[in-house]
Amino acid sequence: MSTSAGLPRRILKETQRLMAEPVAGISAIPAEDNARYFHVEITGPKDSPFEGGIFKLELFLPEEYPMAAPKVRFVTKIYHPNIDKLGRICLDILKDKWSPALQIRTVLLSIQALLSAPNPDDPLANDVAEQWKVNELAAINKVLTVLDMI
Amino acid sequence: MATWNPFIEDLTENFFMCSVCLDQFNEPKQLPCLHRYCNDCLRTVIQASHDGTIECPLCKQRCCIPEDGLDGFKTDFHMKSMLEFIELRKSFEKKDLKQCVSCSKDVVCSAYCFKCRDFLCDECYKVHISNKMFTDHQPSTLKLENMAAKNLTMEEIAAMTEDPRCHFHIKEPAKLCCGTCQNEPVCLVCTHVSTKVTIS
Repeated sequence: MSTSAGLPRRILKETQRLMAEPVAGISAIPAEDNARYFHVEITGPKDSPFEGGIFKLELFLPEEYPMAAPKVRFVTKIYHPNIDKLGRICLDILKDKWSPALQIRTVLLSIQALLSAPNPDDPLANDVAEQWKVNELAAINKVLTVLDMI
Repeated sequence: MATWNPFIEDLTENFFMCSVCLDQFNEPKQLPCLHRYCNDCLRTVIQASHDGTIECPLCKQRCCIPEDGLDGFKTDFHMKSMLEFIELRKSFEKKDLKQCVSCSKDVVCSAYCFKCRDFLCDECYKVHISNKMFTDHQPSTLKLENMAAKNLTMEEIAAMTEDPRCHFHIKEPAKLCCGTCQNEPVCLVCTHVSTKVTIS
């Protein structure tokens, strides 16, 4: 049986568009055995501390999607004030600011933007946020260490 | 013969698309902020609400769910007419399978009834133009090939698709305006079933 059987048309349309017109620096590929589970890769945005890194994420569309937000988590370890050790992301559109007019594409773009603009004033990883505020340079160094780039 | 314009195809895909289902609008309803969603999509949004209000998925403006629920939101007649017009023009050239409004089968439809506002297959077209039941539909039932051959202008088709429909009975043409419900267009059925309707 095809995995796309019973899959809402909206998810099919989104998947098709993600494959046909991918966003620069973002790839999202549905798992072979579950069309609601996506393997995602986001490249670190240019001119950000994360430039040069490739981040793996997992994205899952719950049964209620698009009335409920997708569940997204970083799989690659990352040093970021709004992302914790387990890869959970503090982003309003994934919580109370979710809207059914948002899409997988817009969610991933927002996450890419979060890498460009970390927000230590609304932290999820308190220690990282503290370091970010006290000594940004040291924090950025830590980013690179975690990325294995220095 | 006019050729189907890829520009219009592009327009339908990008501007006549519901942001919730990502498909072309189906029975578009309008919120007070003027954003529109399909009837069914708006129903899902309403069902997810716990406090009698909903947030527009696009602009986040809050509005109260009307007392009569989904029906209380206005149908966007103008958008509906445009979509109907586009569907019709497309059918002149693309002979794909459509559901015949009469027999409900998915077939290549050959006619359109502007009263039913839907497509008819060959068999049902014959019934439609001969049966007494449909006397008032007969001047409005046209073969697609004739329409295409006459190369009707956008204005001519639009004029046929644009007459307002009843606010309460979507398939009925509006004949009157209801004075008590803010001059909504209503049909003759409304004058019988609702005591609220006053003719103005």
